[in-house]
Amino acid sequence: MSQSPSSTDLLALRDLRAGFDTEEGWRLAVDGISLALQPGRSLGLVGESGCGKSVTALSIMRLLPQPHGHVVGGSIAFEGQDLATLPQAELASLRGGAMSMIFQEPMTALHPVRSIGDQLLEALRLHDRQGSAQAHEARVLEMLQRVGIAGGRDRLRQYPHQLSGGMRQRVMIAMALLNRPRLLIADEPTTALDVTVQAQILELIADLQREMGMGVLLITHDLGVVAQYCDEVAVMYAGRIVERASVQQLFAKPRHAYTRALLASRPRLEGKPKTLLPAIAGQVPSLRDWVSGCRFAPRSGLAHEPAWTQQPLAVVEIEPGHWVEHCPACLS
Amino acid sequence: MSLLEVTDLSLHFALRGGLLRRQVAKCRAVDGVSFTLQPGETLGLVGESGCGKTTLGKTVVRLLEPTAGRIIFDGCDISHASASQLRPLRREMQMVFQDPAESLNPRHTVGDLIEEPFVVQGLGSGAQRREWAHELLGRVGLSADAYQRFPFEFSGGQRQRIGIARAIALKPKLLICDEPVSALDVSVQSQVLNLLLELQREMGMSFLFIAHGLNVVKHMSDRVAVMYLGRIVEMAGAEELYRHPRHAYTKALLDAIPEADPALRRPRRLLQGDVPSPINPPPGCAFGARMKHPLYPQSLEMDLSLREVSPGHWVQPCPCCT
Ligand SMILES: Nc1ncnc2c1ncn2[C@@H]1O[C@H](COP(=O)(O)OP(=O)(O)OP(=O)(O)O)[C@@H](O)[C@H]1O
Ligand SMILES: Nc1ncnc2c1ncn2[C@@H]1O[C@H](COP(=O)(O)OP(=O)(O)OP(=O)(O)O)[C@@H](O)[C@H]1O
Ligand SMILES: [Mg+2]
Ligand SMILES: [Mg+2]
Repeated sequence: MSQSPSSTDLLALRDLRAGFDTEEGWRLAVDGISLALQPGRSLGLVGESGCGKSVTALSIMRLLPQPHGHVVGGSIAFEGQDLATLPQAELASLRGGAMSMIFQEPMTALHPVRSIGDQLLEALRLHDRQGSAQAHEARVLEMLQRVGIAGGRDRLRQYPHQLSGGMRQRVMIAMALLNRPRLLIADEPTTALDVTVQAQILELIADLQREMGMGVLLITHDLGVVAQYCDEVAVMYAGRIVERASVQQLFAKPRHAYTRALLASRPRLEGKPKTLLPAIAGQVPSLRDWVSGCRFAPRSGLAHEPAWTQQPLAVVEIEPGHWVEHCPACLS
Repeated sequence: MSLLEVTDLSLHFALRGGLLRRQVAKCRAVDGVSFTLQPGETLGLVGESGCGKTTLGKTVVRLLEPTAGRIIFDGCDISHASASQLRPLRREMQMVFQDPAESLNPRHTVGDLIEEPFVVQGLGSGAQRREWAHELLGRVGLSADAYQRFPFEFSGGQRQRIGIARAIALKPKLLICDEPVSALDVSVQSQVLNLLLELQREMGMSFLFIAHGLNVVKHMSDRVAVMYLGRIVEMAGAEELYRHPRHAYTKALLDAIPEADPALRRPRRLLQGDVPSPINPPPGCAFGARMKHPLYPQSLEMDLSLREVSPGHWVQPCPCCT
């Protein structure tokens, strides 16, 4: 959002733009995102499937799939240094050390034919050359236990395909936390976990935040996790952030029509079973159909004047700390 | 007649090690599970991460061969059926995989992937298959231009929907849904769940619905089974289970559902004790062992098969958890 970056920001994105070269030409996937995260805080990033959350995360880590993915505009500052221009060698020493990422699909992040013990030990060794092999193994085992994987050394010998979906996810979480990063980007970290293990993982992350001021960018579809865990939330739609506020403000008083529709689709325990659930009609606009103005217009059920969809919209601070894309139709 | 009857099913993985790849241990992923599924019925399956849900699902549709026990599908005993005996049945039983990366060949276009089930079964002409594929894309909420793209060009949730389109292509009688909507935002999630409900209504499909989202499971299921470390510990009608949980693990699960409202924020409730491992499972009641319950030792001497405590409500009868 158009918040001015401050020197205390752990992470600050300004007008980030990123996308892909495809057979049909250039496709923008993230279209001018600005946000800031302070140490010790957690920012939730939510939004429709395909809206650009993972591309945002991968852009920050400079890990967009090569050779097609590129950051084409804006800046990414981590503790004040611009990651977009940092040489690869320096980036590599930050990644997995001072800043680390939990990927949405564990199987794309874990090496399929190396044991998880090998992979965890290597992650540790890369950033801690001093420790003895024994000390490293002890740290790995302790971390596995903290993420709730029992079985000790037997587990270290196993390969990713021998673990359950949620165990792979937790191996990746362990790997991301081993070096006690200052910035954690967690892309759907708990989708494969039951709610009791999920609570344990969120507690572990919160512990590290308290102990060392780790900042967390948490991408999730689970509004329960956002409500229970995050300090702030940003809501994305079609490559842009349409609303951002403290978690209390956003749930109590959502201002953008998309945010309201999203919150209204929450599945409820009291609902009548096996009946059709409320969903937002229509589909997210395909990347090539993005307009400059309000992209939610066709699905909002609200009358939009042509200017509101054709011209870029300002982002306004509608209450202290509550920012919304200013589309006259969608704003309430 | 039941569409599916599973009796005392077990699947133990051999863990090999050393130069000679000898079996050094075994993992009791599924350990004596029984249930039935009627045509048009949905059985929800929930449980701790790693408790054996995916393994159970894969064994039921015979992507894995059981170590013990019996699977009767549509009147046929398929427990040890061969690949060629299973081929015609594949059309009737399909699975949506938890990890889409596992099932989508990255070198095929989305169109090819969705048409593959038709090709394997020799259905339709090229033009017809193309038309069916486009219709399926629409039903899972993907745009038509997805057809000629490759799986890696999609977001996680979009890939999951490609997997769903593939699995429902042949309109199977039994669909194992393994976390079918966990990668979707709540609105797209509703679209996909509505699609499953419609398919069930139109064609009487049966679902084994595996998920961690307890609200979603309650919404979709007629009955729900709760698994802990390879075994079903409780099973009942959905309404009944959520209202009157009997087993301590079921209670712990329901208690940990994160409320989607920051005004109702509360301290996270954590389970005590260490998660037990199926590689060296404790004897008797695994959850009682984990909680170090004073009555746990009594479960060692007991037959832990499910007992019916009220009509249709089955619980593992250990004194430590019920
Ligand atoms: N390698 C790629 N080539 C081309 N397009 C891509 C590629 N990766 C992603 N995209 C497109 O970029 C857009 C944003 O994808 P992204 O993965 O960021 O979505 P997301 O918000 O993380 O969604 P989800 O919640 O489903 O994970 C999508 O429309 C996707 O199709
Ligand atoms: N191919 C395999 N070889 C050895 N062990 C395996 C294999 N596949 C699964 N396991 C083990 O079986 C157990 C059950 O795994 P499964 O994938 O069925 O769990 P799950 O209930 O689906 O968990 P999640 O909710 O995390 O997906 C785990 O301990 C896992 O390590
Ligand atoms: Mg994503
Ligand atoms: Mg699983």
